[in-house]
Amino acid sequence: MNVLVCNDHAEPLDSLIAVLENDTAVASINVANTGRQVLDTLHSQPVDISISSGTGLDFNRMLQRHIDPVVANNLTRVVATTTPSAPLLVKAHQYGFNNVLPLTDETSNFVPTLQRTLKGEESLANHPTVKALHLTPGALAHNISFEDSNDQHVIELVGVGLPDLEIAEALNLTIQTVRNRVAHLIRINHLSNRTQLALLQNSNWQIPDFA
Amino acid sequence: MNPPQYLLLSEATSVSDFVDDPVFTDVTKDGEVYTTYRIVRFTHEVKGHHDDWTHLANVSLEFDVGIGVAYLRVRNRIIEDSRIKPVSDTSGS
Repeated sequence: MNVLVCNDHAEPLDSLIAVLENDTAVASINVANTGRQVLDTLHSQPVDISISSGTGLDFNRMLQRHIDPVVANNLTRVVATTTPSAPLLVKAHQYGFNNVLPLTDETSNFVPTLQRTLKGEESLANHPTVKALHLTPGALAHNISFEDSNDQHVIELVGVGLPDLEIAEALNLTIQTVRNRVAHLIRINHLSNRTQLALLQNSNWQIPDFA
Repeated sequence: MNPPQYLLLSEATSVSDFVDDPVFTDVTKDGEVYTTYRIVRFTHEVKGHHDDWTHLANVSLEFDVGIGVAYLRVRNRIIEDSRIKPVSDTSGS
C-alpha cells in the first residue's frame, strides 16, 4: 500500500504518520505539506491512498480538480480526523472521499481500516450517519456543467444568492423559464437541490498557479 | 367570502390556447427541490381563488413517470406559480 499524507498545520497527522511508518503493510509513505507537493507526488509516484485531515477537507477537494483524471480515478481518498462529526462525514461523502478514519480509534485499527477502504470493503457510504440521508456520493466533487451562456448567467446569479424572481428580472426572462433552467442545471449536474447548485457554482474556481 | 368557481373547459381546447410553453417547474421544500412537469390538458378555469390560482390542469412528470393535477397561476401566457396535487405512480402495482 502506497500512502500519501497531506499534512497541515491546523490538524497535523503526525501520530498517524508514525503508525504508518512502522507498519510493514505500508510499502511507501510520502508526506506533503503544500498543495504543490501533493500534486507533484501524485503525478510522479505510485499512490494508492491519499489521506488528508478534517481541516484540509475543502482544500483537498479543490486540489482534486488539478489531478490527472487517470490518477484521480485510481486514487482512494480518506479523511483522518480526531473529530469525525456528522457535518464532516457528510461533507467528505459529498466531496467524493471514500472513507473517514477516526484517529480516536485504537492505532492498531488504522492500517486495517485503510486496507479495507482500499479494497472497497469499507466505505463512507455505508456509515450509518451518511446512509440515513440518501445522498449522492461525490455530488460536490465535480466541476459544474452548463450547456450555453444563458445557463451560465442563471447559474452565476444563483451562486450569488438571487431568488428566481430576481434572476428573471435581471436577465429579462420569465419566471417560468428561469425555474425550468434551474431545474435543468440541477438535473445535469446530478444534484438534489438548489443549495447544492449554488455551492457547486461557488466552489467552481481554480488556483491559477501553484508555483 | 365567496367560494372559488371552477369552470370546466372544453376538451376541444389545446394547451397552446393558454400558455406559450407547456413545460414548467414546480418548486417545493422551502424553495429547494425543483420538479419539471408538462401540461397535458387544461381542465378548469378558476375564478375567485384566495391563492390567485387561475387554472387547473392535468400534468405529467417531464423526466420521470407520473401524473398529477396542477393548480396554476397563469398570467400573460406565462406560468408564474404552481402547486401540484399528489403525483400518481403509474407502474400499475
